Amino acid sequence: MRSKRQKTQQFFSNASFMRNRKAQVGETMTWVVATIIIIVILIISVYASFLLAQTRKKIFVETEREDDLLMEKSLFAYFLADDTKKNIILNRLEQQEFHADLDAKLDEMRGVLG
Amino acid sequence: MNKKATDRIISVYWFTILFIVAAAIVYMVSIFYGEPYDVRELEANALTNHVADCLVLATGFLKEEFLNEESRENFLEECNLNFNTEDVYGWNKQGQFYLNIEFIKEESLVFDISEGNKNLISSCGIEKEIEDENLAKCIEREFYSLTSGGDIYSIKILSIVRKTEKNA
Repeated sequence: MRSKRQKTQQFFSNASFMRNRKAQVGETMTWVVATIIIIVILIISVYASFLLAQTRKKIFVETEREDDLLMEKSLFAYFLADDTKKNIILNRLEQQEFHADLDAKLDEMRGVLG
Repeated sequence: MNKKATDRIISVYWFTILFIVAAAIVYMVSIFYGEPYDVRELEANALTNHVADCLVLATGFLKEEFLNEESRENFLEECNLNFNTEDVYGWNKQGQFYLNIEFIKEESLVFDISEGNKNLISSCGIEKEIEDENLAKCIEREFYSLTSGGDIYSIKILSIVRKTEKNA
């Protein structure tokens, strides 16, 4: 027959086992949730980098630039031509689209040439 | 479970997570930088600029040597252009470039210079209707130039670059 002391020891031993088990389950759940969060973040990052890669693929040249070589060539012809031909060239240039600002370049060249 | 065993499991877990994160970063970098840049438009623009530079003298006048047929026949050599490409994807069998230069005087075509693969012209004009990256890129631009005699020439340059396999 067990003594009172032995009974008390047995009781605390069982209680401790249950507490320990609960703590282990709680800790495992934390790791599982953390793992899921990490994987979800990684999937989102991979998808975002895939989308970003698609958007940066094309390099456009339509953006406004400081210089447009072909426009400058035409402006050279404009300044070399006599007055009647100047008007013809300018009228045609005004109908075209350039990568740079035609009026700004024209003013700049007029300033340089006097 | 004893503490030593728990620590071992956690360290294995950490290494697994570390490996997954590292692999994901490598994968992200590879898909981000692995996508090719589509530089065909830039290439066609560079070709157009080079041709314009070749046709016009530093003084601003048109190089009149191109008005005679002999110089026009050797246009690529005269302008230091080389349409050869690397021998991949069968590029050497069909040209990857096309160039057409029209010299227009008083609204009428005087002559034109054509070099490269003419079949590429079929890609031009339909890119607005069909958004297909496999089509060649076409750039058509125009500028004006004067001869020393005072004649105005409108010069239209059509540059086409294919090279789809490395850009699309």
